[in-house]
Amino acid sequence: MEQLKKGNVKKYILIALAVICVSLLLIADVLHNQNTAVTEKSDVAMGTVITSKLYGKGGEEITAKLTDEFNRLENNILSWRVSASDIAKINSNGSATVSSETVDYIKKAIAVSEKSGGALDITVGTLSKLWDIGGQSARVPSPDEITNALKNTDFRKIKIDNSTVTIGESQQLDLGALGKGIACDAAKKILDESELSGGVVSVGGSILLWGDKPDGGDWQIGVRDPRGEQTDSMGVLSLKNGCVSTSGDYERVLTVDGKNYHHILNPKTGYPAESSVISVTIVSDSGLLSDALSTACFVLGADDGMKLLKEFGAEGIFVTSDKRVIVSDGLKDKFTVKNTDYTLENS
Amino acid sequence: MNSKSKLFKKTDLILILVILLICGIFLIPRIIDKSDNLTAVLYIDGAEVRKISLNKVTEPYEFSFGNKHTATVRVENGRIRYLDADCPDKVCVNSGWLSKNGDTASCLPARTVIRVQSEKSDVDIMVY
Repeated sequence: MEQLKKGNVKKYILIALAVICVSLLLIADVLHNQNTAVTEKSDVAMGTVITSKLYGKGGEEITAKLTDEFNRLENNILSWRVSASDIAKINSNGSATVSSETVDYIKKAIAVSEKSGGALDITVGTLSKLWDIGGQSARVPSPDEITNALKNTDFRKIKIDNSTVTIGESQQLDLGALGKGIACDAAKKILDESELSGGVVSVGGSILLWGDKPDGGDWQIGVRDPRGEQTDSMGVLSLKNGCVSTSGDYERVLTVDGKNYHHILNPKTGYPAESSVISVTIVSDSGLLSDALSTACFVLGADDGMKLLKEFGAEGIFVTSDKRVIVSDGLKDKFTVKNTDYTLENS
Repeated sequence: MNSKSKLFKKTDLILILVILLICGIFLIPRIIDKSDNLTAVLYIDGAEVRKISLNKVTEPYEFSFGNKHTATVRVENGRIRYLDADCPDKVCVNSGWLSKNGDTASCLPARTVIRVQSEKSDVDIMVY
């Protein structure tokens, strides 16, 4: 009898052990698959590199949809280089009837222009073409050329009547400061309609964080070290979702006689902005706002930039030329400085 | 301990060990799958055309890459770069060596991208 009991117990223990082992294997497999069911792709659109990391079902199909959507934005709406786009039509005719989508983008840009006192100005087109920093004919224009171009830089001259947009004489629109952010918003719409569980999309460095990270934690975003190489981060942001954009003086630089000229032009002076910040990173639910505000805040500097962010309910990280890091209240427990060359400061 | 030795015979213990061992053999690769395997992924028009395990490169080599414009890509142990290209702006060549997770170079006129990836990374994405 005793022997039989022992035999039974032994049998149960062995069965239990086998069940535990198989369960462990299955759990490991599920976790493994969850983490590796990822579609990671890079492509070229809107004159920049698009990188996406999508988790869950249908990633391949979604990356194709993203590329199509970015091409549509570039060719139909945003690019002043593509003659059929709404912006090019406005620029070439001085006035054009455009899509409600284009009107919406222009109105939102004007709202940032107004609240930032013109630190962002989408009528900067004449000026940006003159410098062409990052383009084939980049050069430092003469002071006279800059003075003339500044005469055409004033967002207040844009008139919107329903779907007709009219610009001032000789004015040229340039939505370059918000294009990547607009693309992030468009990507969000596509992901919202997908069966994916989560993902990150980078449009030339402006990013969308969407859905859940497979391990359930926050997305970890490396903030580029403005004085380092392309993948060196000066700090890391932990965020659940939203859009993040950075404007920095390291991106697209023209060097003449040992002097560097970066591409973020101050619409007031006509020269690359010098506000003692070397990079500004903005977090917002809206990609358009994060992108537009990063430019405006770069031009304004940390003090006025912080005030502007409050107007739009956005958050930001300002890096100054002496490597101080000023973080808005909403990001204080979400941002960690990793590079010890930089000092975190209380704003 | 004494009662346990009575409960299990030597053959039972061997059986348990075998079960654990088999389980372990299947589990270990899943746990250590995130090894630092540096991979360069090459894209043309958004389609992945080639994957190179940079850590496994023993001898440096070069190959031709692109369609509308052609570039020469050089691969060495742990790194890759556009060495030369017939595109007008040469931004791809000026990007230099790519050796860290997330390092990306692109030839916009040729619509090609080279991106270095590693499973082992502290960050999901870079903002720049």
